[in-house]
Amino acid sequence: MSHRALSRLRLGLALGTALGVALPTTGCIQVAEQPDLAGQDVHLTLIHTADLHSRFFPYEFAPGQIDKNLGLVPKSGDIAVVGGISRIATVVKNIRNNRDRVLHLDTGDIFEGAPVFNVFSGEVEVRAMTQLGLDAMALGNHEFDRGVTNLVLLKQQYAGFPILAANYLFSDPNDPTQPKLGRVIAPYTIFNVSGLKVAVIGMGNLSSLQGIYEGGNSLGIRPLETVQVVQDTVRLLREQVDLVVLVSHLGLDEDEDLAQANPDKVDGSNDQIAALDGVDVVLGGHLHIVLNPPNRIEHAPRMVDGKLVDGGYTIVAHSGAFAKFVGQLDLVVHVGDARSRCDDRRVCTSDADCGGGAGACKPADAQERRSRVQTFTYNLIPIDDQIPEDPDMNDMLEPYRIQLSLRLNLGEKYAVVPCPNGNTSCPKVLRNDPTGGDSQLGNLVTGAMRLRRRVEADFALTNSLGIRTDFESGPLDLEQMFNVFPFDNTITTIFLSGLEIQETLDFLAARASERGCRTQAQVSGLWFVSDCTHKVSCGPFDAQGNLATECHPSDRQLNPTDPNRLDGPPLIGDDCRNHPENCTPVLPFASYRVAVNDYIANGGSGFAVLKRNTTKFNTGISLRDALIDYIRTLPDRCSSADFTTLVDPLAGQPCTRNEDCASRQCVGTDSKTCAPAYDYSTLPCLLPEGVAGHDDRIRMVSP
Amino acid sequence: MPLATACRVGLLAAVGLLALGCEQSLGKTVQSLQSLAVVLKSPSPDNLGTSDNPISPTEIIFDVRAIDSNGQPYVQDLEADIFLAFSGNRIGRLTPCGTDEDKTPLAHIQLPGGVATDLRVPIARYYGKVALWVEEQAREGENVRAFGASPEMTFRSPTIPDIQKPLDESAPTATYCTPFNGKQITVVNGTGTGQLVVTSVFPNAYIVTDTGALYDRATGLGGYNSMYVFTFGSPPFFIEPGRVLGRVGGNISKFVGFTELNFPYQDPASVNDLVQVPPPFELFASDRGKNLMLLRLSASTVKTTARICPIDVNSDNWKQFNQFALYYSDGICNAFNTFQVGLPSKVLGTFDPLAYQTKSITVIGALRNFSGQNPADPLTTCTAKSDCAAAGFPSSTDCVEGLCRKGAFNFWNILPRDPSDVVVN
Repeated sequence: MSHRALSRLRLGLALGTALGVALPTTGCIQVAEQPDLAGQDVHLTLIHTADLHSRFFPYEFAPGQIDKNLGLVPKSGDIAVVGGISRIATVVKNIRNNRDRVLHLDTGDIFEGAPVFNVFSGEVEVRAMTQLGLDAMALGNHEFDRGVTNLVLLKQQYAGFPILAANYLFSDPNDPTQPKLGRVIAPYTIFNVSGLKVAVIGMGNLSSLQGIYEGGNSLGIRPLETVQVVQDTVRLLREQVDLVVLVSHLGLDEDEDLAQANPDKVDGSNDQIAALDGVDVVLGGHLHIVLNPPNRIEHAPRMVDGKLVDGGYTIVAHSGAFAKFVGQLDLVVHVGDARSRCDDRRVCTSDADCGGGAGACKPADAQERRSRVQTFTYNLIPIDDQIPEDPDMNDMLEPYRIQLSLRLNLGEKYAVVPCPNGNTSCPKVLRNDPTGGDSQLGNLVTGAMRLRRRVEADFALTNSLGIRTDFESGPLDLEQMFNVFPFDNTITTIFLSGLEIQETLDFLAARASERGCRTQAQVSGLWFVSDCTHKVSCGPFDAQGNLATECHPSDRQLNPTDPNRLDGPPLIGDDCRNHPENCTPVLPFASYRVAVNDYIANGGSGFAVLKRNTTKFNTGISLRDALIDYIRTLPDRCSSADFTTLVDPLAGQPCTRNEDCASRQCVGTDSKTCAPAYDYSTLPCLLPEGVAGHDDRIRMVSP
Repeated sequence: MPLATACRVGLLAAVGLLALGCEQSLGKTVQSLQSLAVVLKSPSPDNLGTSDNPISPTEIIFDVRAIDSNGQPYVQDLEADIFLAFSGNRIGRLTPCGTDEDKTPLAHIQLPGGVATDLRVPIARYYGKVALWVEEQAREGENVRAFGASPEMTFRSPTIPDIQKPLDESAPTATYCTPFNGKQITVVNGTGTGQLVVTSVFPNAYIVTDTGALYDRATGLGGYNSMYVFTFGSPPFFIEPGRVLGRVGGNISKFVGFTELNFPYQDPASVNDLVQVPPPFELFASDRGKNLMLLRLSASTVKTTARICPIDVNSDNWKQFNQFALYYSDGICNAFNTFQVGLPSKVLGTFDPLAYQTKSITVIGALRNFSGQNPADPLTTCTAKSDCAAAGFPSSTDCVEGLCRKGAFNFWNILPRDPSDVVVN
């Protein structure tokens, strides 16, 4: 966008906002008796939820070291039961009961990630957040997962809170050919919280929406320049409010950039503007990370009234994902005031009011005249089974829970991940291997893709981030399958030349080198070395079989002295580490039938080679279904004598629903109890080191 | 962009405002008590310190006054707790592991008639921006509390040894706890004339060393001077061995006892200056098991010469973590009693440890501890060791940070940075 166009947009925004501000002042501000906060240091609590991803019912989760450090510790063993909107409701109610000024803000992606979304398309999430009393949320990229119309209808029918995105320009909703997002998404909103005025500006995601930069996209969105939008919107709002809060679904780097996008820097010579802060708080999401404590971005000192004053700071908080945590940001806000005050902060009009001599009654200085965050504290609250469920929220959820159980047959078990007798730590099937290479779950998933009937490919490839969680120890049912594959992706077959395969693997190596030398794809039927140094293997080799030179990828050669090292071209086949004689090198001009998921087939996650290929065929076979069918036909069975977790530790305990029991078998008529044990010995046995073991098919070479 | 389109955008914004009702009034009925004004007496409100000129008070003297909804004094008896807002945390007294600090206030005060004057709290080991945080104790029949805070004071920034040194070196928690766990810190200075120098670089991390506090084997002094900075992806382009940093900050976290700085921000002192990195500290067989000495060297660059223990390719140690043990003349290969080497992948360049089992190597790398005390199973809370014995745990079970825990473990890995760090002798 040209500078002139931006200027006009700014002018337009200014006119529009002026109109928007002017019109309602005639009658729409309903301000009850409000306290006089001028000059006071008052308290405001921001409750932050982020990337809930439909985890509105509690679920089992084995926290890693990082989550344990953050306070998510299982009561016993490895598994904690975490999440659930009813527990979050308890936490939110408790905070609201103990604080005078509270805003609950969500930073987007409440949709997608658990079966409840696949069945009800977001209705449960929107209704629950409304019942929770959510004050506002940012628009996340997964809010579009059932299409624009679904989002518009849910907002109109159920949402009692504004959904915000200031950085999208929406197509005209009155045009019958265009989506109607412009009717339901607002750029910002202003709250008067017991006398404290808080502007909340939304920032939608830009990086994960495919095609958003292409004109005429199906979402009807044109992205606006992020920093410019923030600066313009803050300039418009700053003088009307005490605090400016961004709710962002952009990502951490972008949030920190925004935190520094202080409009004061634009024209430091203008005292009136320079006396105002930019953004006080950024609540962020999208990357599923926790910043505990929040980052504090300091701003440079400024000249105000000819005096150098503190430039202030912006707080950047991220509060995790999947309903594992709720963030509580407690602010003490100094409310600006131009009145004179004594040393002990009493208002005065003359020195006599302060009981002192000349100069006892001091006029407010530049720092006093503006509102600002005086200081803050942050508390990350783990959502685990120590927190009781809120009965009102459970009442709302109950009909959905019953339907979900009926429609998905959640009682059916497909396989079991055993926990050997005497183990204090139960193994799980990992989606990320500690070596950074192929993972147990990645091998399982891609095996299911490759061998699926009507797919039968030379090899399968899927992006690592498409596999969303590990298989925990215990029985596997449909809920776990949805947790691993929450998106309804399908298998696409595609024909690639050897050169295209090599180009794809080089792209993966480059990506891995940027991300701590961790592979960004999982494969079955393909064996290769991913060299994070970008130094590919070439001949000639020296007498010890070591590389003598580095060269272009297309010049790769097999290492003649040690084929097992796989320094040469990728190999096609099974168990190529142990039996290279059964495998064949990828030939540059040969054609290979490859199974991929439809997301990367369309260029998602940067797979440009796949995007431009014209041989794609979407089989319509869901990845989730392929995985289920694959694991339920695995031949091995666990022996119930060998595995302690095969017996339900809650057997005989009272229960009201299947989720109350480890076996997921709540039985009986009047007084229900957990069934004594589920006979897992009839189920396929998924040993993490067995059928899906890491076998170095993707060997990472670090710098 | 045509002006008409721009105006349409503006109009949409206006419609958005209208649709929202433009301003939503929230909150409960206005309380008569609104806030607690904190008036600093010492340090003087006129000199609260700056980054360039920080202050170092040993105590803070202040008044607290209750204010009502009209901005006037609120004249009723109250009680309040005094905390500090430090690095994004509300904390009272520091604890060895940085846990439960919000449960013990620095002081509990009475405000007869809504006023308390000349209050004093001692200050030690708090760094950077700090404010007093005053929180009213909930009154009978009232859930909502009043709060207040002082203006922020700027204390000096911590050095790396300030962060790394345990609160009590003799405590069982010394090798795996720091009171700064979970806090955001910024380091801008080395000790004395020392500099902050990058000494190791990994694919997703780097190590910064304070060259003013190198460990001296002869005196046993110094050390605690290196910090592992986890960058998740590749470190910024300017991070290379010898780079002098002007600032490094982030969130302190303990990962299995090892101190990491997460979500870091860092600036080079200047673009072109590279200095000599300190030489590696040589470890010998006799250093094994000296946990407190090794703790001083944690994250520092070390060097040792020893033989590669036979590698069990089916062990988690190798299969999952790419680790193998080293042995000296006494042949000890138990990972808890000797040094280990941890590789980023199964091979490092052309060095494949499977090909050199029992061979002598000289390895240079960053020293990393894995230390901790796992909670006993089932999770059992305690206030003293006797609670754990009463719960039926063995006598080796300690009560640490409110939980019964098994005996402490410590093992030490050397992490080579690149192929040149490993030489087969």
